Amino acid sequence: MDKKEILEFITKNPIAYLATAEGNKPYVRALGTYRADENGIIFSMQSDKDVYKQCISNPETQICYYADGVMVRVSGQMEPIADMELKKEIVEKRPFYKPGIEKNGWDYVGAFKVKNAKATVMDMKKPPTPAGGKTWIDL
Amino acid sequence: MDKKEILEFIKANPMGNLATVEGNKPHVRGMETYRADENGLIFYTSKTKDVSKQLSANPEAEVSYVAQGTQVRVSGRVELVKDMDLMKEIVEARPFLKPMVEKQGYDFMAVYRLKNGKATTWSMQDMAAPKTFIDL
Repeated sequence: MDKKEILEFITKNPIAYLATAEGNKPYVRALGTYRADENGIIFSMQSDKDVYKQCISNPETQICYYADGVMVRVSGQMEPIADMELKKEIVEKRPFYKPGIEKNGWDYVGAFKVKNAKATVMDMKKPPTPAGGKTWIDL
Repeated sequence: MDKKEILEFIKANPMGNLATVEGNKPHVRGMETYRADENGLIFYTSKTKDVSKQLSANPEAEVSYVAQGTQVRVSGRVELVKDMDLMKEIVEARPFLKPMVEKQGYDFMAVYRLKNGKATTWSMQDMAAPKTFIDL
């Protein structure tokens, strides 16, 4: 898959398994990707969540996407986005944030873009890649 | 979900996403859970894989399982299991491993047990529920 195909794959299969690290401990949870295109992969989350705190204190991340026996893994850093227009757009699509915003203001919405994103693809229908043979594509 | 229900959920949905840390970098990949019971969760992979190197250097792991709007996350430390009977059993159950065993013996296999894990559940029906942890 090339960059365009990878972004389309993510758009079609937006459930992300997003991993973060806190000290030497890994964390992973399922999360819906807000958007994936030429401008980057965007996530949103409530700022009172552990995942938000982890992304702020250590932005390193890896994310897995799956469909039809294909796994796409994306590595990069979670970069906070302060763009108010984007936050408003997110809340239109994710209205369950509204009570939290009324209580805590717009800081309640944590938006992130994956910086320096690169992806590797594994197709489980094909023979396994030899160890160390992963290729990474800049997104 | 209680401990028993969590183990049943993992057995019914054995494809997990297993996260590791190398330095300050998290890694995650799909990983089949071979077994889930009172004695822990069993995973198998090949020693040449990055995941195996990462777990040798830092055994801390978290696994996420998702099905029907429910997520179960289990965290804990893994240990390498050198039980030949278990390795043989896994290869019998997963015949695609046989060519590698014929070529390299059982040495290529890395079997891990995540024992005394802590589990937390999340469901779409109750998104705002506070996290609680259950000892497995």
